[in-house]
Amino acid sequence: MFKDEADFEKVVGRLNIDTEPNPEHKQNLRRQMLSVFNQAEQESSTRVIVFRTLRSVIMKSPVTKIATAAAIIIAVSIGIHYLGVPIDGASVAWSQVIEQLSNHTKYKCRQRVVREQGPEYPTMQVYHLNLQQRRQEVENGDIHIIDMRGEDAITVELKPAQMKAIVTTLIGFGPKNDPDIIDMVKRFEQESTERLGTKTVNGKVLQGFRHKPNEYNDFTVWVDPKTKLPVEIELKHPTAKQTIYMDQFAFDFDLDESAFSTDVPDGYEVENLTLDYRPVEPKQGTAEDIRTGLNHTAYTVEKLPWMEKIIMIETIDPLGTRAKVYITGIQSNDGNTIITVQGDYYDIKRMVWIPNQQLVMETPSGVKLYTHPNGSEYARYYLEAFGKASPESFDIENLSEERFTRMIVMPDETVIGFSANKQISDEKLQELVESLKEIKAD
Amino acid sequence: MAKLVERTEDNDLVLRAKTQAEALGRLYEMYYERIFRFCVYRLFNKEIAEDVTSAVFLNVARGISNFKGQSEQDFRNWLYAIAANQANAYIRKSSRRKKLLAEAAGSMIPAAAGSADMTFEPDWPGLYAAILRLKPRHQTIVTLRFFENFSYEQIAQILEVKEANVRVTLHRILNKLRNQLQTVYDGEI
Repeated sequence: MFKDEADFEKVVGRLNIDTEPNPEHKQNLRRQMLSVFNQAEQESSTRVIVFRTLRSVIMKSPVTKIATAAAIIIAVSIGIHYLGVPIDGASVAWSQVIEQLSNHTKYKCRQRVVREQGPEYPTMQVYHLNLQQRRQEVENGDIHIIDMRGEDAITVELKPAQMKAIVTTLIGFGPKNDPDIIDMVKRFEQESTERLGTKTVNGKVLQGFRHKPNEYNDFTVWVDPKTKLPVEIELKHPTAKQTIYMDQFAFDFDLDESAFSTDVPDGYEVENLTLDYRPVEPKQGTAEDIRTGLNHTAYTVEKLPWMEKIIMIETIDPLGTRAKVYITGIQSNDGNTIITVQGDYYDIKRMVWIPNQQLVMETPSGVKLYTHPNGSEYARYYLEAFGKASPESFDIENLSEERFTRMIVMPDETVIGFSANKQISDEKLQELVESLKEIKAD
Repeated sequence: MAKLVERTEDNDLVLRAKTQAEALGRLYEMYYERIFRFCVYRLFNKEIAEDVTSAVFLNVARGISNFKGQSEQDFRNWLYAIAANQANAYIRKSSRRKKLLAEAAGSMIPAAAGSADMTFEPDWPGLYAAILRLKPRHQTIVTLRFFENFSYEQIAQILEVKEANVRVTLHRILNKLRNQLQTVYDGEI
């Protein structure tokens, strides 16, 4: 038998146990798990959905650093707020502050975000008209208007210096409430709100309160004992390594409602963008669909002798950005599946991370190919999306470990995602890249 | 440059997995086989181990957004705790336990006559049958310690107990296990 622990360890070490997993189970479970994950994401509260989407869109993943105007505008206000479950319950300890806050439906403040990593957010004056309308005056002179009252949320980014405006319609996004920090402060729980004593700022004594609902959010609120209204709010996000500072509060500001209008003033050059938040079922499409569906140059692959089949698919971005993408799938005569991906936000101005990657090819016509830091995962998502939309073209079971991704930057700065299930020779790759042709109206 | 980006992202993997399917997918790739193996050790039958492994990762998918940990170590502890709970939940149903015992017994190589001396070594089904007669929590400790080669400290973290507690418990478990093995090979299962 065995004498002691060491002896038992040896006994176990000599056992022959079959623990080889079934690859099919592994693959199916992976898909099922990510589906459950995505579903759970969709079922989360609005602010959490928006926050996560924006985190994944903007802050972290080089896959999707699609710094859209709308995303930035909303991120500045939503992404910085509350991380996690909603705060419930009124506070008696806060009763006077809450009572005062309840008397005010609108407020303005200065908002600064200090981040240890990721893109910087600009300092801005934020005017909250109500829980669905907001105006942000950025330190560089830009103005953002956010209106989430309708079925389609609208963000307007005005750049007075350049007389340019970017109007982004988030189709099917709303109506939703703005995740408003004052609204959250009003609901701090009594038991977990700690008094911090006082501090003096500009000769004024302030009373401090601290509320730490979880490890993701740590609020400090400094209140003027006379007005019983917040003077400073500091919200630390230890996990995200950022702190938001709000000060210069003014409640019931006097600003005409027209300041919250999403109508662009005369004289501005307007760029219209859309982000489609409606559910999209994948469907096969044509080159014409891609051309009309994109707000920038669309490309198609010219059929080469080694290409057996080319299929175009319109689907929702499998990376969860909610944007629509166009996938062109190519079956080669050596059994490889190659896909190109185009979307509204595939351009070098928005995918600013691409030039930092390794340049692996530059064709005589000036097309550049870069590596992708998460190339294997990116390829998996897009190949799976392609296989789901066109099962007869690509069987997900055939997903290869060789799969890889390159980001193609066309001379006009349009970006095209490129993934292949198996390795491809440089010659073929160059042929394919050079076969990319602009889709024209005729 | 690309490598630098990759490394930075890996450090952030668990945090990113709370919001990004891509990062969760990477954690899955890192841990699927380990959790499956753990389930095989706990449940003997590979099909049942697959079912329980599925339950573990589906729980992870549902719960990771609220997972409080930040590091990969936190994630690993959380993952194994879920796996242990799922395996225990499976085994707690007596009908299932009987089925597993019967299956293990059916696969056992009978001890040779006169083999009850100190040199006799159990085969896997025999050892499993003996382990299965321990309390589910004790089964977890045995599996983590001897099959997954976890340190006392790691086991303590997963089970949220003190390290000393794991040491003492394991000492008792081994004594029990020795008795169980004797019983198993005496044909009392």
